[in-house]
Amino acid sequence: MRLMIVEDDTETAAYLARALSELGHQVVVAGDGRDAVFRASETIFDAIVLDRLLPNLDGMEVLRRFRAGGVMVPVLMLTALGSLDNRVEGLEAGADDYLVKPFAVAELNARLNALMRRPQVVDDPGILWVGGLEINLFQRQVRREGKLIALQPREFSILAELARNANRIVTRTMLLERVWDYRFDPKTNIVETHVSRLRTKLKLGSGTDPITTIRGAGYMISDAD
Amino acid sequence: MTPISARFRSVRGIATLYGIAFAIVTAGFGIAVFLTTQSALQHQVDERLASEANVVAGAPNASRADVARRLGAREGRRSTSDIAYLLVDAGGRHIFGRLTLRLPPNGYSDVSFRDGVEGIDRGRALSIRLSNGDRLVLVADSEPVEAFDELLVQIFAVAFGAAMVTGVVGGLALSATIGRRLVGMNRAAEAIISGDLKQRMPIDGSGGEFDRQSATLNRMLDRIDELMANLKQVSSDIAHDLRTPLVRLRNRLDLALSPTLDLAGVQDEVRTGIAQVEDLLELFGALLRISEIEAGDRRAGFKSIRLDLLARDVAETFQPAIEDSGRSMIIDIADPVEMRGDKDLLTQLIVNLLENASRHTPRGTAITIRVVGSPTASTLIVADNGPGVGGADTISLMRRFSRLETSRSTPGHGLGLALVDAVARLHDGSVTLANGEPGFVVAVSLPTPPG
Repeated sequence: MRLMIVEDDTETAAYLARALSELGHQVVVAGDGRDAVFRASETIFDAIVLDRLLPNLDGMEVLRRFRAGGVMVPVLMLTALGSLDNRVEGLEAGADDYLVKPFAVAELNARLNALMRRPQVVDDPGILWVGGLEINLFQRQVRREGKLIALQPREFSILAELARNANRIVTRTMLLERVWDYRFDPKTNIVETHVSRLRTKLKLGSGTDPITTIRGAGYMISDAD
Repeated sequence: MTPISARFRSVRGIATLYGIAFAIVTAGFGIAVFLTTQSALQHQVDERLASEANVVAGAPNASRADVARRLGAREGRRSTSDIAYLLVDAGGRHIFGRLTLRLPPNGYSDVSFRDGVEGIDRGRALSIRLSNGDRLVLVADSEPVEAFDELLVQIFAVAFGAAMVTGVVGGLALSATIGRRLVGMNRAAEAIISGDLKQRMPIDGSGGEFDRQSATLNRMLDRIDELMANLKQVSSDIAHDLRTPLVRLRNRLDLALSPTLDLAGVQDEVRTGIAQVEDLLELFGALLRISEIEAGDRRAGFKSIRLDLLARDVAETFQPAIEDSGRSMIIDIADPVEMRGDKDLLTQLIVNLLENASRHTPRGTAITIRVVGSPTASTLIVADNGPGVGGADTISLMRRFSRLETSRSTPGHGLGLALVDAVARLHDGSVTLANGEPGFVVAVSLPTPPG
């Protein structure tokens, strides 16, 4: 993936650039907003990681200029701690995702990968076939070999989220945000507990577990049977 | 130079302006009264002259002798002593009367005359032509009117003077009073600016506007003082609470440098170090979140919320994890409870309470979550039947970094209830901690909007 990181703190920028390069991405770093706007007009990136607080040109303004200049690349915005309202503001300004510092690189990577998928999700197929499961998103029902598996609403939401992002890692925080709409991290391992219950129910009968745990990152479901 | 408009914005300026306006209005009033009175008096004199002339002239065909006789009779009378008469023939020759004057034209006019008593007098004359061609002139002496005018002017001069003195003195007194209060306030403000936060605005006990304003300012200062004290407390708490984990982290890194460790060992130490740093970052996150909530600017985003549904949703989310930990959960939520609030923050409030209840109780404890609605306030209760908390400790629990000695070993940073309290206060609510005997009870009272 060709990425641009817009971050004024050189140490953070260098760390992110190295970590993302190690994950196989091509990374360009822009140190300020003007530089970022210029580079975005020169090169076509797959995604842009944009810090909210930048000298001279604020991250929000940079985002507006991207969009005004026809740069429709997915933008993931980074914000400092303790800025509850920035998320909404950022999403309204046209950011595609939002991440609060500090974060694990695995989290950032998972979200960037998810952003790549997004345009194709536009026409929701209604029925997904993953991991030997038939998932009907409209009726919110799961079947294995035609047999209905009874799930709690939240368990179904987790499964649907994993299935929509099949073959990609879905992190704990992504599940908290998308299934529960929680913007904070509870101490209790509610995600683990619910995923574990979901797994138990999915395994009943067949014995195979369609969900893979990716240590230190999240969960994944693969669409190969 | 100060522009005039600005100068009139000072108290002295306003008082001066007020004085000038007062003087103009008083003078205008005086002039109006004077002119009206004069015209009324004039009118009265004219009326009197006309009716007197009628009486004297008699019937239209009255003879000269008749008129003269009547004149003679009236001139002696006291009631008409202020009127002088003159009767002349068509050629201007004197027939009757003591008056000496230049013959005025027909009708009313102001004249100077001589009636033989004193020198020249001023008066109001009415001259009419009788049917036989003679002219009858009646003159009313203006002296009483002039004397009245003079009196009127004197009265007005005195009244105007008194009004001016009252205005000026009143204005000065007003500006002095206001000035004195402002000086007092300024002095207090200056003292506060230079660091004496205990200083307060003066109150003289009069209960007037200034006292009320001072009282409001003082309440504001109390709040600022409280916040400052809180800030000081928090800074020292942070310094204290951060020192320990930082020292531990330092030691951990030091250990990682030990030459006896192999790569796996070093990585192990570094991993633990990172976990410690993450704890610290989390602590900062919680602190920032509390201060952000306390800033209060999230009220604008309040929406209508079904507290019962929210609490049930959170409780059901946490139920499996709590049950897995060997505790049980009772969800006692029935009636719909509506309120206005911030969904994210209320969710976090409920999460914090449930996590506290499960973290600080032994296995086997039953945790109850209850939502009780009333027309004015809804109450969210999280109770457990665990060992509870000592009476004196309940109060301190809401403070930042407050942790019981007994829970030093459990994970957490002592900010959970501080956040709950901050969220409750943002919603104009309050948090009550109590011993349930057995167990610990947290009740969050949140006001529900009327209607």
